[in-house]
Amino acid sequence: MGRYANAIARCEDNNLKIILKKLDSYSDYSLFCPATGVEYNNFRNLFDSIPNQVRAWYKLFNGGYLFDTMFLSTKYFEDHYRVRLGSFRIYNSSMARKFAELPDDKAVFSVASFGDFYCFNTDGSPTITQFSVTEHQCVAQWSNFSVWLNQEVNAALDLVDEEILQPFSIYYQKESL
Amino acid sequence: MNKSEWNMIRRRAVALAYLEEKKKICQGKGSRDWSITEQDYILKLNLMPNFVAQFVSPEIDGNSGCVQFLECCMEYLPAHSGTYRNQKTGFFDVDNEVYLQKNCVPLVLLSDPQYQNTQESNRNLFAGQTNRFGVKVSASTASSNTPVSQNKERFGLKNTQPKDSDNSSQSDRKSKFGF
Repeated sequence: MGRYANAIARCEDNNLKIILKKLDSYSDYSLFCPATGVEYNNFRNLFDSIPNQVRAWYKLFNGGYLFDTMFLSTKYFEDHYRVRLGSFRIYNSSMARKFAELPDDKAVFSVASFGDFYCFNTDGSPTITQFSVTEHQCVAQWSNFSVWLNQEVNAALDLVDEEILQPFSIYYQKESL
Repeated sequence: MNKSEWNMIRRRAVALAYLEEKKKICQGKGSRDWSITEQDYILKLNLMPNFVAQFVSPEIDGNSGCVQFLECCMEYLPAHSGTYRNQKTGFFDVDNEVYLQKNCVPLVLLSDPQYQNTQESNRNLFAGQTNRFGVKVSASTASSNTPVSQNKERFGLKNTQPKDSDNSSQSDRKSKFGF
């Protein structure tokens, strides 16, 4: 039984299940914080409209790290792993939006290692967009969250093969998420 | 060059820079004077949250020396006059808030080298890799995925003391020392 066995069993979306199964063999390269019901409700209350797959993902995990990409959280710090997390409230605050000139209908949920934001639309459409903080515009788009996540994982696995990305060295109980 | 290739080039350069940073920290050096907590994050998480990787040179050639790490609010935004839009290149001197025309980030000695030449630094550096004995290096001394009995079997170890010898040595000690 892998580390993500519980998450796979609980996952409501079949495409995300396939990706989680892939991640199960690389569990040392990711650090996700299991989401409680309260945290999931906090996340839902932050935005008017959230795509279904993003919602399904955040029902399982309240942010964390996937390879070198940061997933935002409703928390600032994860006590169990003792790591700092990127917060939705900071990255989607009016001041951060002003600095980045982020459009109103975009909500940041993930930050790439090179600084670009990955956003979902708050107008109900399932597309995921990459917002370049230096070009101040959306530079790439994916049809939905699972397509984006799959590409993100595949690209990271190429870097793992090249031994550029290394596993995390955080010791944690090998409990199932 | 399409966007995914451009993403990959930048991602590879940043990952290489952090990999290089890990090695430097284990030697008591760094591309900046990392605090103890920051050293901890880089060694354990392979990145530093809330830091932005800025490319010193517009041509990203995969060279790890072309990346400068700036703290998001206190350093990156002042370096760009309060907005992400003002894209500037060169090495940003944080103390004097000026750009210096350098093609690579200079090396500094850490004020608090927490992991210099320690067993823990080696563990962190090689965590996840398999050593020449075929054993996966673990990040922590506390973690061991292999049960002791399996290791004993694998390396042909036996219990050095017979089961009842323990009691006899205790009684010998009691008679000799009275406790």
